[in-house]
Formats: sequence, structure tokens, C-alpha cells
Amino acid sequence: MGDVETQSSRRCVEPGCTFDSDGVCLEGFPGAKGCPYKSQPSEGEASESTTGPDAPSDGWVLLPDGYELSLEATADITRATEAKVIVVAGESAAGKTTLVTCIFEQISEGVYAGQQFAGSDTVLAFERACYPSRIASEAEQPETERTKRLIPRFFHLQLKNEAGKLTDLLLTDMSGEVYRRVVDNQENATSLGGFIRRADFFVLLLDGKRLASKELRQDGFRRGLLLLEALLQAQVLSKMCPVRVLIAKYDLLVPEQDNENTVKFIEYVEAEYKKFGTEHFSDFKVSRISSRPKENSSLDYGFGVEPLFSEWVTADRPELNVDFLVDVKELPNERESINYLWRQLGRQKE
Amino acid sequence: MTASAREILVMGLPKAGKTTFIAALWHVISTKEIPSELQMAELQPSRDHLNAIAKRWRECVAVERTIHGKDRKVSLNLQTADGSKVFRLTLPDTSGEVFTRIFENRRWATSFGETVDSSDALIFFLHPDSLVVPQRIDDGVEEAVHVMETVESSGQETSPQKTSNFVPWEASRASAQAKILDLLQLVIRARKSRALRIVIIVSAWDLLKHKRISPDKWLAEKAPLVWQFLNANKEKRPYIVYGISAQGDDYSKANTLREFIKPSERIRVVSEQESSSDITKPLVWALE
Repeated sequence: MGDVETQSSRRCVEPGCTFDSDGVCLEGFPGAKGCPYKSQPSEGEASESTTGPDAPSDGWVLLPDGYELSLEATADITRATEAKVIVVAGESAAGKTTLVTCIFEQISEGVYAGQQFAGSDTVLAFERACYPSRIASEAEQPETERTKRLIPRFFHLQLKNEAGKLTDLLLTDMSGEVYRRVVDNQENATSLGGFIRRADFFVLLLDGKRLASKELRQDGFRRGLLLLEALLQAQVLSKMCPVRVLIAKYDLLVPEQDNENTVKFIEYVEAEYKKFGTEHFSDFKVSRISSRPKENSSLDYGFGVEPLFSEWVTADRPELNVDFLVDVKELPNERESINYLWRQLGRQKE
Repeated sequence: MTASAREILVMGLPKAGKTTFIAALWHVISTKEIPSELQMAELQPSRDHLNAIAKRWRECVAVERTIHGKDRKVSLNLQTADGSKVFRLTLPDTSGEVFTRIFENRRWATSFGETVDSSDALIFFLHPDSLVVPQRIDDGVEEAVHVMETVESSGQETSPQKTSNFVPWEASRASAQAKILDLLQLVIRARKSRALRIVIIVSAWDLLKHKRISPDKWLAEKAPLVWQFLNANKEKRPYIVYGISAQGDDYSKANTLREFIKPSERIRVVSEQESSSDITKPLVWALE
């Protein structure tokens, strides 16, 4: 069984977070107040003298936190199963997390793309990501909280198809700021690390909102191409890795909503990406999605997402001779994590 | 015949009907007033808690929920109807708040971990009213627009209320099905690859009887994530869903319920296959 820890232990348990030494919360919570990785004493806890599973006299067993997995924690999955790593890339507000929440919301309602939900190590991470777009949050508009983290974390889904085959999906969750830095500086591309080398799919989202703006669209379009070029040049992204470029927020670009010029521009963007992709990658596609169409859109929730998701789960894995853990050793300040408890509690290897 | 010691882990969020189930179970096996698949083999030494909760159940008065910090383990000496098997069954009667705190605080007591490890089966209770399906804002907006259009077309004035106070995330804000799923996963993972029989009991089934839907289909509809998870893992962890009304009906109809000559007959136990008053059936399935 897992570690036993006493009441006095209220340190930050997020790998890579330096809060305990310098007071800076990796998750961006001021003073770590409200940060799920920093356990806080609950009201009256100190005087509690009851007995029972959550107020013991015999010590605690810490449980996996249920939030996004570190690279170290994913190693458990990648070694136990044929996990697929889906790198979801794109600059800030491109819709990366919204895409992930869309998938979780869809499978939360039933079998999705022929795949049955078989488990997840990151249920709370999904719930947290979905929360701002739910009525329970009392937000006026559906939102997605921006990912702030600069080191990769992963959402996890285990899926089972009709034939009984299990597939683990690991979807990256990393700030768009990282990709902005890669576009602007080749050193950042080189140091981004091997989690991209390990990708079974590299998914690049282009922000449809920027493409809809005549002022911003050229930059938005070109920076995506630069990102691919930078990663190729740094040999971080393999030519053999399947690449999917997604025109995200397509609800803002559908013909009836916009003028002919925008339609022509989108066709031009797609043609330019296809031209680049055909020259540099063995498997390259461009498609249009709208994970969460705006109110009154003619598009359904999750437009274009189901075929993508299906492909991620069902495609054969390319032969990639890369050890996922290589990068783990390079991560600064990486230490024992609560996520390790998944291992201690015994991952099912079936 | 030597009694084999068996333990069933009992879980469920607050007000899920765990204590009411145990009260009704004790009434049925101690009175033997209706035939049941499991019967009392002999009285166990300690019966005060069971007698106290069964008294309230017989009176059709709400059984007091287990208070956090007063968690108990209930022991019953049982045998099969033909007397071929004798069990000493232990059922922890644990406050639902404990499971809420386990989910939110991500830890459990070492002793609870040992119970998880040693249990032969798991019974997870859930109350239909607790399974509120989370609604997306975009869905809600469409619904609100529809309502407004209906009101406007009927010539009435309306002043839509806008909500503006975003409530920050904390684990307690997770959907009900996510909480149930997570607790099930924690138990399964803690037991590593060992098999576990899982009984899901949808309590207060009388609230749903008019729907004419089986408990399993109801779970698939109301908690699709939990249902898919159970199905996907059923080879090693077989599961069954029972709809159980341990009270018989809402206690606002207590006078009608008290007219039962045999109180055991007000219990309803519904599965995909059958419907009866035998509240021991879930235990029989769990102990197979």
C-alpha cells in the first residue's frame, strides 16, 4: 500500500513546484491558496478526535490526486500499456484545453466514437477543466481556464472498443506560452524535449478567432507554420509523426457567418499548410473543428472532433524508439510526487 | 459447520441509504418473517446499534444517518437457506461524509485501506436525487433562449437573471458521477489486480418505479461514465445494479406503510431479472 503520512504534512505535492522553497505556486494560485496540490488544514481539523477512515489514529494513506499527470507518472502507463501520446499544441487561447474538455464531456454522456470509457487517472483534472463551462460554476459564458504550466502534464483516458481492446490516451496540457517561445527562439525548440518525440500524433490548433480577424490572421497563420518548422529543425518533431492541423473555432468562420474574403483566406491557409505538410511529413492532414460552438451556431457541439478522437485511439502506433523517461531526468526540481501513488497502489496491468 | 469470515466494503456519499439498508436487512434476517436467501445462523453478541436502527425502520421513522466519527462495523452470523454455507459477515456502517472527505482530501486511514484490501466485495450506494447531471452553459443558454422566446411570444414581460459570480473550482464542485467513479477507481486500484465483485445499489427505488426502467439502464442513463467504467472492467470485476426501496416508500406515507402486517414486505428489491422483497439478494450475489 501507499505511503503513510501524518497530519503535519501540508507541503506542496506538485512535481516541479518550488512553492515550499520560494513561495511561487506553479499553478499560479497566489500564496498557493486554493491550489489543489497544496493541502490546507480544514476547519476544526486540529481538534478532531474521531475515528474512521478519514480521521484515523493509525496514520494516513495518501491517494493519487486525480489531477494531470507528470511525465514520471505517465511512465507507469506507457510501460504497462500501449498508450498513445497526443501532443496538443498551439498558442494561447487556440482552444487546446477546450478540445480536451469536449472529448471528456462527450464520453461522460455515453460511448463516444465506438469507445467505451474504461478509466482515468485524471478525473479531477477533467472535471476542473470542464467546470468553467458548466452551469455549476455560475459563469455567464462558457469558458476554459487557460493552462499556465510551462512543463508538460497529461490528461489520461483509458478506452475500450467493442472487441475489448484497451487503449490508453495521454493528452498533453501545456501553456500556449511554451509554443510562443518555440516560435520566437530556436533554443526553446531544442530544449522542448522528447515528449514531442514520443508523440503518436502531433496536433496543432490554429485559433479560428485570429483567422477571422483581418488584422491578426496573417500572423496567426504564419506562426503555426513557423512552429512546425522550428520543431522539425530541432529534430524534436519527427517527419514520421502524424501531424494534424486543426482550424479551431470554425464556428467563427463558417460561410454564412462571414464574408467571401474570409472563406478564400481559410482555403488559402489550408492549401499552404497542406503544401508544407506534404513536403515535410509522411502523414499530414488539415481539418476544421469547433469544440464548443458559440451560441446560435449552426454547428453541433464537438463539430469535427469525433473523427479525430477515433483516429487517435484506433491508429496503429508508429515504431518510435524513444524512452519517455529520458526527459524526466532532465526536468528541474522533479521530486517524488503524489502521482507515484498510482504505482504504489498498483496500476492494473491487464 | 465452521463459519467463514467474509467482509463486504460498504460505500456511498451522504444520504445514500446505507444505514436504512442495514436496518431493513437486520429486520428481515432477525424476524425471518419472509423467506430470504440468507438467514440468521445465530445471534451475534453485539446488537444494540442494529436494534436501534431497526426500531426506527419498523416505526417508519427516518433512520438517523451515521454521524461522522461514529462509524461502526456491523457483524452478522448468516447462513444460506439450505444451511450449506455459514458466514460471519462484516459490514462497515460508515458515514457518507467520510467518503466525501476521502474524495476531496485524497487520503484514507490505514485501517480503512486494510478493509479495502481484505473485503470480498463492494456495495456502493447511491441515491437518485444525488445524481445531478452537470449541464453545460451552452446547453443552458439554448434552453434559456427557448424559454424566453416562449414567454415573449405569449406577450409576457421577462427580465432574465444573469449570474455573474463565478464560483472558483474546488474538488467538491466535481459532478456526482465523477465522485462515484473516482471512489470506485481508488478502491479498485488499491486492490491492485485482484478481483472484486461490485454491487451498485440505487436506493429509494420507489422514486423511480414509475419510470419502468431497469436499475442497470437507469445507471447507464444517469451516470454514463460510471456505467461505462463498470462495463469495461466487468470481466475481472463483475457488477450488478439493484434498485432497492428499503423503506418501501416515502415516509410521508408512513401511515400506509405501517399497515403492512409483515414490514419486510414493504421492501422492494429490483434487478434486471426480478423483483422481490428479499433484501439479502445483493449480499448473496456479492458473496458468490
